[in-house]
Amino acid sequence: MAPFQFALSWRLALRHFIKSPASYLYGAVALALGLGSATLLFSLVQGLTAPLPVPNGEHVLRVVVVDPIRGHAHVTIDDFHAWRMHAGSFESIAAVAVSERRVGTRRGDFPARVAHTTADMFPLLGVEPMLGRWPAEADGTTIAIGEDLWATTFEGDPAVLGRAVRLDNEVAIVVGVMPSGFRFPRKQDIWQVVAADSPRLANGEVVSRLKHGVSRMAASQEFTELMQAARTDREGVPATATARLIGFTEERGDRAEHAIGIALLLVVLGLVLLSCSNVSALLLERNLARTRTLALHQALGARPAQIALQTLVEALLIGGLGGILGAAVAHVGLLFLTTTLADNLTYFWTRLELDVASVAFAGALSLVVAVLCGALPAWRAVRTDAGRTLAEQAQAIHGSRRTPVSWVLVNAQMAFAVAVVVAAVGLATILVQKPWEIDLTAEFSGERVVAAQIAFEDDAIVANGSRVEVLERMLERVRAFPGVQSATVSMGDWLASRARSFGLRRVAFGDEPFGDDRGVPILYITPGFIDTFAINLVEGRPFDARDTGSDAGSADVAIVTEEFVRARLPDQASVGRRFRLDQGGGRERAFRKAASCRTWP
Amino acid sequence: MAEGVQPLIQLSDLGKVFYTEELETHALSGVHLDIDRGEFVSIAGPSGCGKSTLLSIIGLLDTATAGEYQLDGEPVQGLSVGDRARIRNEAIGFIFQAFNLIGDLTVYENVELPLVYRDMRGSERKTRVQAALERVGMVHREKHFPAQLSGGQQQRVAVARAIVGEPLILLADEPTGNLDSTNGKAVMDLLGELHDDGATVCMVTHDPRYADLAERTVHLFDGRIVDEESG
Repeated sequence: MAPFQFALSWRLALRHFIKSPASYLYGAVALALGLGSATLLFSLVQGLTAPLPVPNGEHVLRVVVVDPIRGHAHVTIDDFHAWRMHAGSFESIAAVAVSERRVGTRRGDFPARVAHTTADMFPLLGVEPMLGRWPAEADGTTIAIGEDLWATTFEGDPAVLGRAVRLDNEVAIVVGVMPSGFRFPRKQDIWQVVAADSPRLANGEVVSRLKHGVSRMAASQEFTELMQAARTDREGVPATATARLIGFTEERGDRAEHAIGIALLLVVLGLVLLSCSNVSALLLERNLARTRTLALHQALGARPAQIALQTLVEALLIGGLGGILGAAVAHVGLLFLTTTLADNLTYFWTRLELDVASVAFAGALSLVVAVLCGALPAWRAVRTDAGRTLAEQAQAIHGSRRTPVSWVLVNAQMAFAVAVVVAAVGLATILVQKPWEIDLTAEFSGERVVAAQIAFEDDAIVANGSRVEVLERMLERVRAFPGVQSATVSMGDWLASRARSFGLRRVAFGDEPFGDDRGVPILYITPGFIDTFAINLVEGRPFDARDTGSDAGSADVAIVTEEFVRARLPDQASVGRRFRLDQGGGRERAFRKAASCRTWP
Repeated sequence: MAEGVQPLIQLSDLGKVFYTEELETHALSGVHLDIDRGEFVSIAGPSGCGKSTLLSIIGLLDTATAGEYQLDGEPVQGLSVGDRARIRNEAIGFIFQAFNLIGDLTVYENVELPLVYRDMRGSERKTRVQAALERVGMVHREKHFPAQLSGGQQQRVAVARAIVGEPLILLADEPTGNLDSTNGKAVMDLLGELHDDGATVCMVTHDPRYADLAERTVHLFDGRIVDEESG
């Protein structure tokens, strides 16, 4: 088809638009709702899965350890050493852990997020400091600071290099300022180098840059074999955990995430189809109103493709307008999500914005949707009976005007579409916030409850195993504070981290064997826990001093949820029942149940 | 008809039946009609006798359900939709009672339309459109839209659109039906001039005054040719 025929079709479409813009804009708004939510979803996925923004960032991977029973497990320092010493699939490997410290300067104290890394992290990332050099001293006496911190706290003073700052009770010298926007691994302000065997790296992450040509699968296999061999040697029992190399933003989605994601996708797909049907109906109606004109084009020799082109061009015009409006809808949605979810965006490079890729996606989708919308009306236009239509002398085409019922239906569709867009934004919010993972405190009476995270960074405490004594002393002092009614310690960062990071243990009653399930989450707590959170026990008693002893032969006690009782002990007495926990590696631990509680800690 | 010369239009035992629900309507039956090159034929008859249906079939806007139709010696029954469109574009020019100009296009663009569908180059289109508009005396209105013209002017533009592609035959369906007598006469004079210049014209009309301007008048009644008379 000659270009001037496209030009003619566009000219006609634009003149129709100028003459009666309302119907075009109506169609464009209908499409914008579908296109906007699809673009929003695309931008969301793009933003949340963007790779680490360093040179060849796709080769920089996290190493995660997956326990077949407990799910995700921590990488140990020993694992890190095994890989560092023997693995050949990476160019470089480093470890990093994060913490929050109070930074003391001449201007005062403030909290800052600190990354403790091994010295090879910076060459691994390939990021050069903006000022100065990377900290290299493994004794933690030198640090690099982020550009944002430098610009605000140090007012962009180049003389910051060499200046001493206090990190809690240590003093460190600033030796570098990292480039603008760099806050690796998440949203850090300060980088401090520590020795590869430093306890500060406990609970940290191992990061490696793969050699070119080495696949993730091959590297994961090598890391797994080395880790299992080292753990088996160390623990004396066969290790079954596996290592996987994944990108920073590649999370292992659980069922809830997948369900929400699929629901979101279906909602958006439904909305796009709904918009399509709306616009298709609009075009059909327009064609019905100008059947005579279509017949005339046929009489003048327009071939079927040329007749179809006119309708398709009009669909493209509506699609184009819809795409522009849709991009605006997506932009507004992304601004809302960015504002609402700022604290839930884990990585420093995550941007929920309408970038070039999103605009290109909106454009491509608009094109596809326009063709879909226009296909049926175009086909119907081609099938116009020109002879009979032109034989009718009357200009008016009866039935071309919208009936009240038609208006009600179309407007109901639009209202539904708006409701679906709102639902889509809500689902997207839920997907990012993951309330099922972090909002556990909603189950509790959280008023007047204060939580703090405790990390043991004193090598001596870790080495001689005196953590329990330290915690007991600390609890005594906390309870002695004026106004404190009760205090408790739980093992694991449960208030701040995700439910799935709790230890999962398989449970068996009596002598029955352990099942093939992944187990149930276990939380280790001190007796004050039940009081602190004012948990209502359904039956049994709370923990007390009797339960903290370690008499030989005495069973540990546990409190379980009503849900657990319903699932595992239906219609049976539960208090006093004994059960075993699979500790992994063939080890077991016996428990006696003390109570059932209504809420899940 | 000259001996041995192939007629431009040759209809043999042509029939057309419309099927609507359980009803069969015989719009045309056993129509035999030849139209030579350069001939001016009018088709006359009362309303509903099948005049417009016959014109639609001659113009390839509709197909016969029986009989044969040869245009310029070639059978056109069974052609594809695309081929029929191409032949309409190249060989047939339509003039309608209701003018049927496209309101969103200017006079120039309306006349240019058949050439656009013919994939003709821009410069050639321009030359032809200018010539056609000059032929009907509407060059000065080329940038106007149809709504800005009188009925007579619109029909002259429609004539320009019909002749711009230099078709083999002009099919005029009640070309004066929507015009007053002055404008109607002007349009008929125009058709007469085109015929004098060699155009083949086939016109449907009620009006005996204009039917008499044709060289031959074919009378239809109940879908059959009942009489033919030479003017």
